[in-house]
Amino acid sequence: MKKMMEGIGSINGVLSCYLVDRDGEIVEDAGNDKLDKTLASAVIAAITKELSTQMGIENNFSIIVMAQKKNLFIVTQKNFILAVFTDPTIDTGKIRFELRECVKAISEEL
Amino acid sequence: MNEKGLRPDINSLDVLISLADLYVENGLVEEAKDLLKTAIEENKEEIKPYTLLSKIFITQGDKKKAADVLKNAMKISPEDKEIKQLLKSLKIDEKEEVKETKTKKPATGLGDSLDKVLSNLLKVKGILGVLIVDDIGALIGAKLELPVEKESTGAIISSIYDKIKFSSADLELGLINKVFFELPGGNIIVLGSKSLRFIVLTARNILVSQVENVLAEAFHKTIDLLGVE
Repeated sequence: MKKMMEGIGSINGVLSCYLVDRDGEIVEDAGNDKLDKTLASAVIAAITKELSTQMGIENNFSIIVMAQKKNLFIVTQKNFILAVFTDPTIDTGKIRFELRECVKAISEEL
Repeated sequence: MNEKGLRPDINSLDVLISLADLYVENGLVEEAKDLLKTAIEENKEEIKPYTLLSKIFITQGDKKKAADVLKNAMKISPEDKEIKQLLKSLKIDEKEEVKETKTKKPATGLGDSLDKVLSNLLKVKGILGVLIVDDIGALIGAKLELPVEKESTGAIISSIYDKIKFSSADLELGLINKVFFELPGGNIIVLGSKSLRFIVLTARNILVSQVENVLAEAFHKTIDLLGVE
């Protein structure tokens, strides 16, 4: 798991990545972002919970936030959330492809 | 086959409808609804998925949603007996509905210029609807090809967008330009300004990069036309 996260963290343009459970507890992380990890994982879980509650969709959804300082990619599966912060100039298609592969591998491992 | 069934590989209307029937028979009502919405997206001129979807809503006691679906079906086939009967069963004056669909433009509450901007967006392949809401989630205007309830849909998406916006400081994201939701039934793209949420509903398979410029242009035109920040 650590290796997979470090793999994502090493992609050019990726600032940090977090594997968190649906309650917002960090399972694994990688990267050099100076973000408060505990706060970030809690906020990410809260965002996915809001979507689940409001739309009645439990899992298998993604959120991409494109912002001035960073982009945030969130992939929500049944048992985990994978969140990746990137430089805003990163190639969105490339990171989405990498995330899909990683989500598949994590799902198999879990 | 994924947990939602065979949907991604199937395009035939008859197969989709048969599968939806099977789902209903086996108590998988939500899956049946998703399938019928897909059938509507892919077969816009066919009324059968509309009537089946409305029947599910009627069974669930959601007369409002059933009526919305039937109103959309009536635009395609104003004389269809089954639609009329279903509307009657909902105690809706179908004559008024037919008159409305034949003589009136959809009640968007927008000026002609803005109406034109939204209508042009719906001509883009894969774009299924546009909702414009203010910063508290109140509907300003809408153009939809989907049988969704526009006020509540706009409010729900706006509240999720706001949750992300208010979290942006904690996540050190800076000003949000755009949020993209990739959901099992389709995608949602939200462009936000200080006082406006421009919500675009799209098919699951849309190529975002191909519509990005069109969306940005329509968003900025909307801001200009409404004279908001």
